[in-house]
Amino acid sequence: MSKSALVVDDSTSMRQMVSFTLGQAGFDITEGSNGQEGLDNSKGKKFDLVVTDLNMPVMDGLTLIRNLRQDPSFKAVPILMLTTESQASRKQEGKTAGATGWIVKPFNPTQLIQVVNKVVR
Amino acid sequence: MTLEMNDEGSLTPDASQYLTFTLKEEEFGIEILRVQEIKGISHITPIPNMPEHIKGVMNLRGAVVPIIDLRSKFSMPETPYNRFTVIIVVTIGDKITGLVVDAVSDVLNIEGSNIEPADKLGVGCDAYYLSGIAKNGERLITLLDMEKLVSFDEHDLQTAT
Amino acid sequence: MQIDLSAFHAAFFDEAHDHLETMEASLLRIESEADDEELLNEIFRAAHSIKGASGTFGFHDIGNFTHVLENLLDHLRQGNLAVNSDLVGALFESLDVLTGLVAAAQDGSDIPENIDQVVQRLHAINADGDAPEPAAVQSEAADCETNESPTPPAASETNSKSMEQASESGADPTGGQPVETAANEQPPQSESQDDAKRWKIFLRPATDYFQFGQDALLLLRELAELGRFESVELHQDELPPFDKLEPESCHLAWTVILQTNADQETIQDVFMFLDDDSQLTITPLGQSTLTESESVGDPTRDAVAQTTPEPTTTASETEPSTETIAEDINEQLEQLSADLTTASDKPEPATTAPSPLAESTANAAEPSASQPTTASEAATPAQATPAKPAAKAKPAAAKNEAALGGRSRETIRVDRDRLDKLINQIGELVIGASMVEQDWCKVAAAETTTSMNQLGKIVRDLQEMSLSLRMVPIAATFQKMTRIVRDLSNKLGKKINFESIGEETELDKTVVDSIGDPLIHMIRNSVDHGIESPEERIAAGKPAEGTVTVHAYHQGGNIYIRLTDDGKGLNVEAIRKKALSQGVISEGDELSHQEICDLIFHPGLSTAEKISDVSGRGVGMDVVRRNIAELKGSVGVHSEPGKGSTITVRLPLTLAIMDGLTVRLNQDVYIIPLLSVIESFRPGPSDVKRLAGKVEVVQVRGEVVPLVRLHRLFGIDGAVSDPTDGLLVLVDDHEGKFALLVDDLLGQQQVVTKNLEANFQKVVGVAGATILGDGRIALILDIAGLTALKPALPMPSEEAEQLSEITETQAVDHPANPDESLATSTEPDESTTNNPERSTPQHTWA
Repeated sequence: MSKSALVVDDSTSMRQMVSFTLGQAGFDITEGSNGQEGLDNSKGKKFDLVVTDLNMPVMDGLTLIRNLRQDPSFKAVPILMLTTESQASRKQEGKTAGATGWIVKPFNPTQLIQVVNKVVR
Repeated sequence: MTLEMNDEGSLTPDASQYLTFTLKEEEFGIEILRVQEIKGISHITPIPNMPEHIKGVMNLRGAVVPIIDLRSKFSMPETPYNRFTVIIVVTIGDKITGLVVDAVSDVLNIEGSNIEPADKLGVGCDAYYLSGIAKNGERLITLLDMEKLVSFDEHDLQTAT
Repeated sequence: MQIDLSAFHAAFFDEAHDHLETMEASLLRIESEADDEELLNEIFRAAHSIKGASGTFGFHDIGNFTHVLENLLDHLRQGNLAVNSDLVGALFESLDVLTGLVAAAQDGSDIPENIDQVVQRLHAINADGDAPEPAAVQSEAADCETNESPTPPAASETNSKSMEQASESGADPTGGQPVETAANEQPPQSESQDDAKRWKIFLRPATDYFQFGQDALLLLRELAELGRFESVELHQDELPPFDKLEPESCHLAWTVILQTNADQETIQDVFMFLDDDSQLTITPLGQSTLTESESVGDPTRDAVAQTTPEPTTTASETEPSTETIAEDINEQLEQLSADLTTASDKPEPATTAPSPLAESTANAAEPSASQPTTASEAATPAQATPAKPAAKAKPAAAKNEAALGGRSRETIRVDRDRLDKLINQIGELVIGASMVEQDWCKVAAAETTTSMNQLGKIVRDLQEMSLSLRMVPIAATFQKMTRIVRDLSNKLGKKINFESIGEETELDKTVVDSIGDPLIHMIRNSVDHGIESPEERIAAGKPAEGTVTVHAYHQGGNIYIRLTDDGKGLNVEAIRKKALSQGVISEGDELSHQEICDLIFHPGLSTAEKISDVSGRGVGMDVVRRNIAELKGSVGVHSEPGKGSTITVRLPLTLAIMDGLTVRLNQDVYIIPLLSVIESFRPGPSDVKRLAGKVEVVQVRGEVVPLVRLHRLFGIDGAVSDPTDGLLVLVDDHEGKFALLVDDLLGQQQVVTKNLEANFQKVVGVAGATILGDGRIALILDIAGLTALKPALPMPSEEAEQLSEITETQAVDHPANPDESLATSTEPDESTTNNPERSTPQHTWA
C-alpha cells in the first residue's frame, strides 16, 4: 500500500520540489498552497506524513498543525514543518502546536528524505 | 539509373525525399518535410496591392494562410481555378503558405549526388528560386528553394511584374 | 536520490518576480503610509520567501543578498530603524539589485555592478539599527560574516557553511537550548573521544510521545543503522497496571549500548525531534563517570556543560532550561499583544521573522561569535530587551493575516500560448456555430430553432468569458510609473506628488504589455519637461510640489488613460519654431494653439528645448502615437500655458475581438472598425465635386471631406464607381475625416481579429482579417493606414494644398505636403517600398 503525504507551502517552487521528492520516495501527494487549503484538501483522507511551511497567507502553518491535531485521524501522523535557519523559538512554537519535527531551509531532496525517514516507517 | 521511385520507404521521410508536381509541362520538386498537406481550393480572399502571384488568403482551419500561384510566380500562362485545382500547403519556419500547382505527381528519393547545382539551365523560372536540378530518367526535375520562394521579400515583390 | 532541482527553477523565478512586484508596490507606499505596518510585513515576507527558496535551489547570490536585506527589514519592523527617504532609497536600490540578481540567475546576465556598494550601504544602515540592541549586534556579526563583508572578523567562512552550521546547531534535540548547543560546540575533547566507540543511550519518551506522530521504534532503528547494538534493555518500571494502561500513551524506556564510529553529534541528530518532556542521555562509555541519575535534574549542569568538556547531553522535564524561561516570556508577550490587539482574533503571529528572542538564542549557538557566550549571558539580554519590539510585531502580523485572509484569491498560472490558443479556438467555435446555423437555415429553409439560439448564446457567453481570462489590471504599469516619478524627481530635484486612480481597471494583457513603454515615455516627459523646479513653481505662484496624476477608466468599450500634470504646459512657441525649422509648417501657416500642440506627435519634433538624459533623444511622441495606433488606440494632448498638460490615451479593451461594420465591394466583404465610423450616407449628385478635375470631395452636413474610392485604393474590379449608386462611409482616422466609397453595407457584427503577419506580412491599409460565418476570410480595414495609400493617388501637390484650404480638419493634421504626412504612416519603410509599385496598377484602375 502506498503512503500518502500532505504538502502545504505557499511557495510554488518549494511545494513542487517537496511534492516531487516525496513522490519519488513513493508517496501519494495532496497539496495545499496555504494552511486553509491544506486543511480543506485533507478532509476525509488518511495521511502518513504532513509537510508544511510555517509562514503562509490565509492560514499559517502553526494554525494548520493545531487544526490537524484536533482531528482524530491526524492524532499520530508525523507533521514536519519547514523553518528557516535556526529559529529556535519557532520550533518550540511548532512543537507546542503539535509538530513532530522540522526541516531547516535551505535543504536539498536528500536531506528532506533523511528527515522524513526519521518519522515515517 | 540512380533515381528510384520510393515505394517502400515512404513511411520514413528524410531530407532527400521530394514531392514533385507539375506546372504546365514542367516538373518541380520540394522537400517533403516542408509539406503539411495537399488540399483542394476553397474561397480565396484577395489582398489589395499585392503582386499578381499572391492570390490572397484562405481559411485553413481557422488560420489565415496566403496563397501563391506558382504559374503566375514563374510567369507562366495562368489557368482558371476549378475544383481540381490543387494547393500544396507548406510550412516554412512557423509560417504556413499555400502553393497553387497544376497537379501533384510523385514522392521521390533524390540523392545529393544526382542534384546539379542551380544554374541557368533555361528552365521556365527565375534561377533565384532554384536549389538545384535533379535528373529522373529522361525527366528533369527543378528543385525549389522554399525559403526564397515564400519569403515575401523585396525580390519576391519585384519579380511580380 | 537524484533529483534535478532545475525542474523547479521556472516556478521559483515566477514566484520571485511576484515577490519583487509586491516589494516594489509596498515600497512605493511606505513613505506616505509609514504607520501601516502591514506594508513592512509584506516586504519582509516577500524577501523572506525569496531567501528561503533561493537557498534551496542553489541561488546563493540571491540568498546572501536577501539575507542582509531581510535584516534591515527586520530592524524596521522591530522599530530599531525609522522609515525615512534615505532608507527607502536604499531599499529601492536593494530591490533593483535583487531584481538584477534574479535576472542574472534566470538568464545568465551580469550580476548588478553596484551590489557591493549596496551591501555596504545596507550594512551601514543595519549598524545603526543594531546600536540600541545589544542582542542584535551579534546577529549582525553573523550576518556580515555570511556576506563576506569586511566588517566582521571571521569572514573566511562561506555563507552556505555558516548557514549549515546555524541549522545544525538550531536542530539540536531540545529546540535550540543554548546550554546544549554550548556543550556541542566544545569540540576537541569530545570528538577525540569518538574513538571510544561505545555509547550508552537512555531514552524515556514522554507519555504523550505518540500523539506527536513520534515513534520510538524508528529512533532505535535509526540508531541501529549507526553501528551495532551491544545490548538493548527495555525498562517497564513505569508501565501502569493493565486496567490503567492507556494504549495511546508511552510508558516504556530503553537503554542501548551502541558501538559506532559516529560522533556524538550524529547520535544526537537521531533524536533531533525528541520533545522536551522526554528524557535522553547519551554517555560515552569508559570516559564518563556520570550516570543517568546524576545528569538528570542536576541543577549545576549548565555550568558543568559550559566549563568542562563534558559531552553529556540531557533533555529532561526536570531541568530548568533557558528555553522554558523564554517560553514564559513568550506567553507573557502573547498575552500583552493579545491585549494590544483586541480586535484580532488570532493572537498567533504569522511571521517567520526571527524575533530578537530567537536571534539571541541563535547567537549563543553561533560558534564563531567573537565573545564566548555562556548560556546565562545569552539568556539575560533575551529576557531584558525584546518586550517592546516583539509586542509591536505581533499585532501587525495578526492584522496582516486578517488582511490577507480577506483578499486572498486563488490563481493558477497558465502558459500564455495555451491561453491564446484557447481563446482562438473559442473564436473558431463562434464562427463554427454560426456556420452551422447558416447551413441549417439553408437545409431546413426555416428560422433558427430554440436549441440553436440557446447554443448560440452559450457560445457567445463562452467567448466573452474566454476573453476575460486575458484581462489584467493596469496596476502593475502604474506601479512602474510611480517608481519612475520617484526616481526622476529625486534626480532632477523636483518635488512631485504622484497620484494614480483606477489602477484596478482591467484590459487585455497584450494591450497592457504594449502600453507600458509609451506610458512611461509620457510620464518621463511630464516629470522632465512638464513640472517646473520648486523655485520656478514658487515664482509662478504655484505650490512647490507639482502634481502628476494618472487616471484609468472604462468608457464605451474603451479604456482611457489620462495623464495630467500641473506644470508649465507645452511651450507652443518652441514647438512652432521647431516645426518651422523642420519644414513641417511654413511661415504663412496660421495654426491655433491646439493645432500647435498636436504637432508634438509629428515625427522629428520633440518638446524638449535641450536634450536631457532623462527624455533621451530621438524617440518622441510620434513613436508614442505610432505604438498606440498599433494597438488600435489613439492619443491626444491638451495643454494650457502655465497650468499644465493632459494627455489622453484611448485603447480598445481587447485586441482579440472588435465591433465592425461589414461592407461589400463587388464580391468581397471588408470590415471597417466601428470605432472609426461616424456615419454612412448616399450622396446626392450635387454633393460630390472634383477639385481641379481630379481630387474628389463630398459635402456632408455642411462639411467638405475627401472622397476616397476604396475600390481604387485596393484595386477591386467591378465595384460601384458612381458614388450616388453606392454608399459612402464617413470615417475618422484621428487625423481627419474622409468618406469611403463602398458598394453596400451588409451589417454590423463582432469579429474575432486575426493578424496577417502570423503567416504572411503586414499589408498597408489592412489591420487584420477575420473569418466570416460562411468560413470565408474578410479583411479588416486599417483606416489610419489608408492614409498612407492616399498620397499614392495621382494628386498634384498644388491640388493637395487647395484641398487643405477647403477641408480645414484635414489641413490641421496634414500641415505639410503629402510626402510629409506619408512619414506619419505606421510603417514608413514599407510604404516607401511599396509605393512605386502600387502606383502603377492604380493608374490602370483609375
